[in-house]
Amino acid sequence: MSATTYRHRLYLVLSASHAIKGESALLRAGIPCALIPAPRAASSQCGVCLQVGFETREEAGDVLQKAGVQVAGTVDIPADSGRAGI
Amino acid sequence: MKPEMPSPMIHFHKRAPRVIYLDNAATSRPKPPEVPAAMARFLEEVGANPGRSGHRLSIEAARVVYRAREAVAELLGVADPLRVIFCANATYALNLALRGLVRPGRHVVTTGMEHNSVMRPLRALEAAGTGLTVVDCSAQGVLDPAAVERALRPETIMIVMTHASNVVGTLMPVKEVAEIARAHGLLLLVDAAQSAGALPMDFESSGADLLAFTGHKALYGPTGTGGLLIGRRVDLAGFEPLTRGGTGSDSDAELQPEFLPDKFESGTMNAVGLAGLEAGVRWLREQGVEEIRSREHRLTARLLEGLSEIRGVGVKGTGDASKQLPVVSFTIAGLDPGEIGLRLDNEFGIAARVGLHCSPATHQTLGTFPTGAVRLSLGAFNSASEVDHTLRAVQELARDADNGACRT
Ligand SMILES: Cc1ncc(COP(=O)(O)O)c(C=O)c1O
Repeated sequence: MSATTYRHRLYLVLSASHAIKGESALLRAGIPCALIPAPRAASSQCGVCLQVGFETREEAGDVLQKAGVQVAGTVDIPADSGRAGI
Repeated sequence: MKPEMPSPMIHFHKRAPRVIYLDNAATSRPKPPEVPAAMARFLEEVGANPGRSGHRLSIEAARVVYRAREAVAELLGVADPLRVIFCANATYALNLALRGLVRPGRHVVTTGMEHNSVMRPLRALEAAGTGLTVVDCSAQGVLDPAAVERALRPETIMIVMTHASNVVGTLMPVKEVAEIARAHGLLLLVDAAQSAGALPMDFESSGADLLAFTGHKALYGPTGTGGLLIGRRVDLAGFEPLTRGGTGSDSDAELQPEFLPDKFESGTMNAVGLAGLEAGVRWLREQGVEEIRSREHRLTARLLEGLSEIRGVGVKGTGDASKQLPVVSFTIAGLDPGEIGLRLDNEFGIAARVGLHCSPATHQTLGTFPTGAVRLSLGAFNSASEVDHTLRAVQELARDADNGACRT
């Protein structure tokens, strides 16, 4: 049995304002990201979340924290999930 | 046949083909062309509800709102754009801060130079059991910070003051009062309706805890925009919103979210207005606040000097352009301000504002209550020749009044 490989990390955030603030901080730091609808099952928060490449997840987390973006949770998306990517 | 309402523009242009707009303290006019362009672009190309839905247009609308937040935060020196709360105008922001934080049994100190958007909510709180002290200012509208300190009581929780008078432009000693507020552990709420955008500002180091601004005056945005800056010393848990409702966040909860800005921003935002506000603020930054301030300062000095040389004209306030914004009020002996305003408009094409300017307290301080005064307020688009034209007009009116007085 092979270990799961991941393609994306979703950062679930408190609100659309936090999402946009996060997007602006990530882009400024040169980390590609996308604002996408949050998977309903994972989020009771706002409708959108921040998607980053799995390889940039740690760096992205630091940038978000430094920018004061309140992260309500994360979801890692496996490579074979069939979800659209950035 | 039903009589038709005259078209205001046609009616207006017939009488005064060119308007000299000296009512910028009410709302700035014209707006930079970038402002209507940004608003049209929002309506035509985005037009969705910001932050409510996950689709690209809604996300883009949320970006527009956030960019406006960022622009205001950068201009006014707020470290975290999410501490910029948007609402309809400065009046709503002031009501939010006052009614959201002040409880019966507490005490608030304010000044004799306030606009009714401060006074009326305070008087209503007073009627409901909050103590209120209005500290007198001099007849020139100058506040002695020591008098504010003397007015404090053990139950005082807040000092509320305007940054600059909307009647005579006087700059109030916010820094000194902020030191008093800090020393006594009080909140300082500043009404910056006139000053935000008109002066360089740094909220974080200003000592203010809350600052109300409006988007449509010196920020050059459209009407229907404004907001409240909330500092870190404000206890959010004890700060009640004025309205509760949909925020696009925490949608499965029936309780209002506690985080900023959502706690205080229920209901669909004025995204088209905020698109315009962002454009106004960007324009302002490109021009330079200091640059506009120094131009307005020169014109104000010219206006003050010219008015003070006209016989029969009484200029209110300090009369010193460096101590005020470009807002000048005067009276002409023997002439009702209403008549002066009408003649300035009809005969000289000058748009001024007469009366009490929503500030009976200020006019009481200046000794112009209840008749009021004539207010001329300049903006970034006014010129020296407009000031000179206005001075000639006032001279003519004063001469007529003087002749009239001699005849009787
Ligand atoms: C000093 C002052 N405070 C508050 C206000 C209220 O601003 P707004 O009409 O945008 O609510 C004004 C503007 O009229 C003002 O000049």
